[in-house]
Amino acid sequence: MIEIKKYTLENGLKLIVHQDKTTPLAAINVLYDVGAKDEDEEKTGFAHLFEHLMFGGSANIPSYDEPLQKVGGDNNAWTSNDLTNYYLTLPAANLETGLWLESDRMLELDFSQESLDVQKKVVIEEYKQRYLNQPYGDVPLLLRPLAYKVHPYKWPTIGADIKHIEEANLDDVKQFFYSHYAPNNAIVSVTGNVEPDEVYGLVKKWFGDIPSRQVKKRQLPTEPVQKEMRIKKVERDVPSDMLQMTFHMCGRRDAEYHTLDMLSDVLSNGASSRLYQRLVKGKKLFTDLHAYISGDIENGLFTFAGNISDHATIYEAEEAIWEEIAEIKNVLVEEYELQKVKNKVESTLTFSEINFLNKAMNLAQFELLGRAEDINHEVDKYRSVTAEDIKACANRVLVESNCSKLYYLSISKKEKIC
Amino acid sequence: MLARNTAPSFVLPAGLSIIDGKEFKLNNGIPVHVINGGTQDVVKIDFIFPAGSVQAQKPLVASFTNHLMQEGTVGMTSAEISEKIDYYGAFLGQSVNYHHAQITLYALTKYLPELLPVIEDIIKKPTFSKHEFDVYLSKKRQDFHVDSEKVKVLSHRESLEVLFGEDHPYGKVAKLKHYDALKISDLKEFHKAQYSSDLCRIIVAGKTNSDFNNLLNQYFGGDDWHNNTEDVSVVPDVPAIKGGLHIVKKDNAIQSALRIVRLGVTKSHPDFLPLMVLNTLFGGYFGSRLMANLREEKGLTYGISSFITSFVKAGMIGVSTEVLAEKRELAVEEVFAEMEKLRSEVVSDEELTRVKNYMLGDLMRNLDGPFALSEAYRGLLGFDLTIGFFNELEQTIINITAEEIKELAVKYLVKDDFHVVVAGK
Repeated sequence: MIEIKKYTLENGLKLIVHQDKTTPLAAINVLYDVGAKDEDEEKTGFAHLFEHLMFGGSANIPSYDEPLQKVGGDNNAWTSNDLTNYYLTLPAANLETGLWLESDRMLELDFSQESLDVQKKVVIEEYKQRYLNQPYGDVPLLLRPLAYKVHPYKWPTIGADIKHIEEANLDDVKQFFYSHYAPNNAIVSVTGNVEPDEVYGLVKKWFGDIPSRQVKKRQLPTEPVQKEMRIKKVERDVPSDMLQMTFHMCGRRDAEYHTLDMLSDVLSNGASSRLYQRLVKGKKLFTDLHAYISGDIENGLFTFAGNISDHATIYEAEEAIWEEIAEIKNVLVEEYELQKVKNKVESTLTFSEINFLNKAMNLAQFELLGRAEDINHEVDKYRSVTAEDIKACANRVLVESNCSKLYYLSISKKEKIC
Repeated sequence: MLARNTAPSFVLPAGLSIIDGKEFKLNNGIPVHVINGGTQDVVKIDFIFPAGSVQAQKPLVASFTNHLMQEGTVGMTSAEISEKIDYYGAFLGQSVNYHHAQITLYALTKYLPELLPVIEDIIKKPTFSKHEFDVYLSKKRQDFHVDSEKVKVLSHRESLEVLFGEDHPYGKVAKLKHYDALKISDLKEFHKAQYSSDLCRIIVAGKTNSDFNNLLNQYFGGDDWHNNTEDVSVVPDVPAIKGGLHIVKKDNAIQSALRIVRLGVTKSHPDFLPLMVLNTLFGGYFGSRLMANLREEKGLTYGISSFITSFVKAGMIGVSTEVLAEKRELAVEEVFAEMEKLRSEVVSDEELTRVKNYMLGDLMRNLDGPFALSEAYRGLLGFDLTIGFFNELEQTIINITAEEIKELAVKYLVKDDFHVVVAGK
């Protein structure tokens, strides 16, 4: 049970505080309700590039990092298709320094051409390091546009094309800031060795006079229902074949979300799970195989991803997945197996509540989804899932016409066989 | 009006609050270190053995032994073990380094009575069946091929070979031929020799209950698993090899991975703690000299860092990054230019204060909570050091002067001592 106190400032900023006296530290998490899904199709990768620029100095403070390091703090940030998340930890006594820094960059960034030029280069190197210079690194670049035709989830956070990053200019940056970075579009959570009412006082002091802004209204196009299976085949200079199969599913706020999460757990959570025991250990078709859900806020994806064994073909491996799908669609999961995945979920949630920074991030995300308090009801939602629910969901989601699959083939494996 | 351009006042993070660990011995003499604390009813238990790659002598033997122990025992199949672990919501972790190997259990405290007998079986009675061996071998062989496509991995392997020599236990890197040569009998013998009660240590972190010591004794405190071995791990001295340029070619690489390395000192050496400060300043945090120059000023890389590593018998000082292939030479030049700056100019008060305070905060983060503390404690095994090491680090950070840092740079950041390893172009 995570005890919280919630406050809302007049400018719309939401604050969640959780006290954890077991640590001498504190965490501040600032979540902005803007992600890659809010980007223009011709200017993708912008939310993430912008995240880098948030460290380039703000209106009144030339450097973000230096004052924080000086008080013993550390920080980082990440961007997803749904949101942009900034976090820091520091000795609890120095909490105000963190709030001072975060409030100034919410107030106004120092829009500098120099910072933009350098961060564009850094992001391009990040693009190469993560997506182009790694075996299988371009999978997300291939799979997203296969699964999504109109919804902005069709491009990855890093962007659809390096060109979009190269072409970003200072006007774009300013426009992005003023249409998305605003107290009324942000959630601040503070955890650790702090007194909630004192935190509220300090947050009012530093964030209270930041004006509300006209946030760009989100109007995401609806992805049309997929009518037939989509297949993409690529050949790459990698050692072995990889298979990816995705199915459209509901979003994070939907009632079915927890059921689908449990469905993926039955198939793939832990070494005792069906896919691992049967297809990796038993039939030895894969050296590794996972089923997981994307966890996206909008309608997301249910994915199977596996590395094919050297002696197996990708087609027989795929066939075995379809057999597993057929079984879970036709046969109810037994009580024991259901209890097992519920226990695992419960323990995973318990472990996620150990660390104060984790708690800060989770609280902000639950608030974005609806209510931070719901974090304490999550386990009940999983507990109430039944075998019938799982079967019904599998029948709705895991169907061929809803599937997009990627055959990522190894050139050298093909040569070996020929 | 708010003075937004003025930083709020702050206090220096001071006085480490390290949770007091308690020691006790099981009936058979196994030392147990207990760090009680935390907010949740969970526990992490490390069973640690001198069963690393140094003791194994041949590559892969230590890591395969450690992994395959959980894949079937005299009393339970691999599948039955996984069922039990998953059913009780537990997680098994394994890791192997040069001198140690461990099995780690993460569990809800209430399920320890069901889980400890499983761990007992894994540690005392693994069977190393051919089926499990084959499955794991083909997975690891495939992983090896995939890793060999990563420039970062290639540069890491090469850096160990050039620094320690291919025959030294620290420089021996697994090759494809080692996968072919690996035999189940190697694993069985290694398990028999190294995973015994005479050599075991246990670290417990989290919330335990009153019955805990009895439980641990019940499953691990008996005389049934000793073999009178002593830990004899022979590590020859490392000959200093003069630095040079080593290129592992990978033509299709878009970025080149760089590792610039030299021999360093171990945690027991008086220069180690001061070197941690120099390392942080040089490339050990986001505000470091290397990050400021190569990332934030020149945009050559997504990230660059320096490190100091201590194994039991030798240490390593180095820099690691991935850079645009065409700018690789510039990047190397800039790394050495930053070393030269540290050798010739004293660091300003402003920068030194920042590094010191950042490190003090980081020390608090690294020792925060029972799990982090148990990791920190484990890192000291083999060095004849106590947890007081971290108090010493705190004092070193507080007291070190700019002049001392410059002297250290002159002593260790010597260009000719470094090997420059490039993987890519």
